[in-house]
Amino acid sequence: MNTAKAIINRLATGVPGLDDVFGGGLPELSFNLIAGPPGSGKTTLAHQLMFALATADRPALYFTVLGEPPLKMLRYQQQFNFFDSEKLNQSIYFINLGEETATGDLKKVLARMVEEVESRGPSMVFVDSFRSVILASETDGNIFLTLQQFIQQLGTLMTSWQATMFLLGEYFSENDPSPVFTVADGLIWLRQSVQSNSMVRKMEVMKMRGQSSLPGLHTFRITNDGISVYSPPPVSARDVEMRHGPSFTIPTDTRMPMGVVGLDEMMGGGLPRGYSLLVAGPSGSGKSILACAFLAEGARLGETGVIAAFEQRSNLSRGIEIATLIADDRIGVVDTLSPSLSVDEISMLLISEIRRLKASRVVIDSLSGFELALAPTFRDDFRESLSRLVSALTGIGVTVLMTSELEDRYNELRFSPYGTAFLTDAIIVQRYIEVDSRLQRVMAVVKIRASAHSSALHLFRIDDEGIKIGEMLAGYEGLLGGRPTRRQPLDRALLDTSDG
Amino acid sequence: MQIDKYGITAMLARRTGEDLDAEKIGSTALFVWSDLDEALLPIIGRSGVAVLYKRSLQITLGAYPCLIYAYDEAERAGKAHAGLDIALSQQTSEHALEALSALLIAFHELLTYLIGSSLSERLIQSVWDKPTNGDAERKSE
Repeated sequence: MNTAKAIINRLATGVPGLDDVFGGGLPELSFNLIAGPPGSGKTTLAHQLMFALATADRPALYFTVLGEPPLKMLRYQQQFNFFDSEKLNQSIYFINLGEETATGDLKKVLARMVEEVESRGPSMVFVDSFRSVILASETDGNIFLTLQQFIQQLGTLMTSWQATMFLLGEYFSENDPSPVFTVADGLIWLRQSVQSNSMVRKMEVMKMRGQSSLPGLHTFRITNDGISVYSPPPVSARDVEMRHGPSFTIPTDTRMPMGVVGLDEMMGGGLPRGYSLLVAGPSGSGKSILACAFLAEGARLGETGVIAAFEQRSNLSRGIEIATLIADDRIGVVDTLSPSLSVDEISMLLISEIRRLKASRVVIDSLSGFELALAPTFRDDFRESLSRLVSALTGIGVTVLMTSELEDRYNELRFSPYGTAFLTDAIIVQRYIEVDSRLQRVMAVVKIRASAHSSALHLFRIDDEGIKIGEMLAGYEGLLGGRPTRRQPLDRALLDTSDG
Repeated sequence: MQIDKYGITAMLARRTGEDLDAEKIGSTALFVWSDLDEALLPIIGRSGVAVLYKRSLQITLGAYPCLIYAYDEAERAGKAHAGLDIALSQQTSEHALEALSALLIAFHELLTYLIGSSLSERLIQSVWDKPTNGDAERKSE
């Protein structure tokens, strides 16, 4: 048996995240349909692909039909950073088919396309918009060439001429029995989802012959750099390497000091590398300070870190040490200010920053702020998405500290308002208690997977130098009820007696 | 008088030759527009070029009312550039050259306003740099 198969080259599209969604790049010579409502980004996606892929040896033809006037299209598309005027008439040729389409005779349209393809020998051909071709063919009752024949001939022509083809069209319905769907090797659907005041762009690859694309809806954003697609994060180091190339090495057999004296002992020697830690506590209890101490300790040991901060504060408010480390690019900050975020977008930004800095410590501060920053449409799936994010981060070997706002409720013991406790390998809880008419802070290590740790509740206080952990709060009971009762005299030196 | 940043006046001088003659300027105008058509028609289509031409005429009419014939004729005949050669040939050679130059500058500036200078130059600078009427003239003979 002859087992030699045709080799399908996969082209790197130049659109961040898109190759992952396609399942490893765009199959060469494929016949693709980019569909979606007006304003969904079809023309932008097509231009971005074209400018990334076109070279003098592999030129592209962009046929404009009766849709957006070519002058306006050029006017707006050149605003994107990927638009390179130098490529025009060198490797990218715009051809207007308005006149041929206006006749309603698909034979004329096809003849002109054949003429241009034969004369330029393109590697890529775009038709924008194909809906205009369909409408034009319907109005005049094509007796010479039906739409089905037209598409069939077009597909055959492009494959024989070794060109990858893109048809752009709006108003296609998934239930539309359009012959385009049958012929197309790739169906890329762009959508806009609106909920409350938030609009989120989503992409779905409904079909990509010859390879396994990532199923589901993937969010994307259009900025001055063009389109960025946010695919679900890879969940293992192997997947990461497949997507992003060789990873850097993070030691996995050691424990990480937390940067707070006494806490490492409570944790049985520090936080095991590659673990995820949830620090839960009420507002002002010191979660962010603990997170900053964790990053600063890493920097002291020569490690780099990344922080995704969802609390609206300046870098300086994290303390001069963290501000300096950020300024020195030893701690990377992920931009969380964009509207209508998705967890996948944050995942991609985090992973990209982790790889850039070869970071080993990651902080997400806080999950409450994270959820608020998400577009409403993603909030229902927050737990599932967060679970994927944590798996992805720990999968590549980084150690993650997440903070979680926890309302003090003294009639129940909770560690997270999201039911996220099960997602993490370790949990530290902070609480307020009342002793002698003063608010005191206590901290305990609730869980460290597969490791011994202290179960003691320790008093702690916060001063200009950070968190100071005291001894175990012995002689009291009912601490987690908020109002402990004394069993024996308390060592007053451990209590925070300052009025500040 | 508009400032010619594109070398249009020099191009016209090259194409019309030393003996200024309004009729020659009129026919040169059609050769230049034929070159512009060649550069732009594939990209923005016949109707796109026609609209730009008409708008350029309208902009230039204030300073050169003699071009009204070209404007009306294009409208009447439904054909871009119709009557431009006649409108120019009925002027003094200096005035015809100035009017054509102003029309072409207005066209370039309009295109620049719409798609930016980089892209405009990319598309039509070759027309301004052309040494002679070349193929277009030979075809018409």
